[in-house]
Amino acid sequence: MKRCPTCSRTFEDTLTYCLIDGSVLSAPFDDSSDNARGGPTEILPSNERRENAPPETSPASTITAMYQPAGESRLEPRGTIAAPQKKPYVLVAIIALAALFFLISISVFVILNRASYSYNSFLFLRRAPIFLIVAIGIVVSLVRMRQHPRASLLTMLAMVLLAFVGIFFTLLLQWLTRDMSAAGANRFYDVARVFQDFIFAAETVLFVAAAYSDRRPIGQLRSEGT
Amino acid sequence: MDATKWTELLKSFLEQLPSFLTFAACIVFVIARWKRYPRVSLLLLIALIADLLHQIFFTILYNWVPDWLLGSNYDSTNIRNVYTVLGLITNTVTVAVIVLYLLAIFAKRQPSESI
Repeated sequence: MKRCPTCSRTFEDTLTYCLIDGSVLSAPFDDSSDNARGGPTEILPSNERRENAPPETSPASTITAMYQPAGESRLEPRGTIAAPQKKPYVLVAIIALAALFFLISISVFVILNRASYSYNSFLFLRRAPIFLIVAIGIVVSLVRMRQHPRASLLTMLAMVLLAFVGIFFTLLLQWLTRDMSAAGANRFYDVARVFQDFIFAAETVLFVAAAYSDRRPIGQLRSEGT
Repeated sequence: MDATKWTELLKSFLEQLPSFLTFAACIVFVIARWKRYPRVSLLLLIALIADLLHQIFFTILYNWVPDWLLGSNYDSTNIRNVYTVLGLITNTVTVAVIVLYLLAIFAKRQPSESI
């Protein structure tokens, strides 16, 4: 058995913390021995505790073990202050949104400095569904950020990459090749297409990683009765 | 199709080799995780296969369209309109695939699943 030093209640050996006040329980002891009736508590080395622990019995005065994950208490032990949880996701999300804003700003700048508005507008029209799903994906990620931070962050990164590809191939590529010869521009486009494909591959990996992150296996969910 | 067209098609596929290899690796990964996450893996597998087929189909289509346009008597405005409609269709199918990915990412999640 184990005893709570604060409320003096006894618990089964499987528990680490008191279910009433969250205090760390004493070392296991045998409640049938004299030591348990007021004698000094014998502290056993950690590797011997399990071997010398008494068989599990549940006397009337003992609180039956409930589900209590190892190392976690239902109440914070007295005298300890929980460390603030670091949330790097919010920072990375802000950086991702800033990058998107930067890309859009460059696009607007390029549009305003080009004469061929109509050609660019047709190129943008072709990519319109992509820009729409990027906007939806970013909004969904932001809404779910608090519940599923990793998945939302990975999704947001994939969406920013998608937006980057859209803007790059709609405007920036033309702008970069404006002074090149036809042969040079063709070579540049070939390289750009391979570059685009690497970005698509990265997006796919990000989507797959996002789908599995922050999830628990189905077996674990079943065992917890959810 | 003559030999030049086949070469161009092969070149187009070679340019997309990184994403084809990624699809193959991701499909293997998804199948390996099937037992632990069956619903997510199913949605992901559908999305990956749809993405792969989309990429193969539109690569062949974009390889064939220029020949078809050269054979027709379309002027530059018509050609631009054909490419705009084709681009819209391609990107709409891409959006459908991305929606499948988003479903796989966010569907059937419980708030308690966040770690």
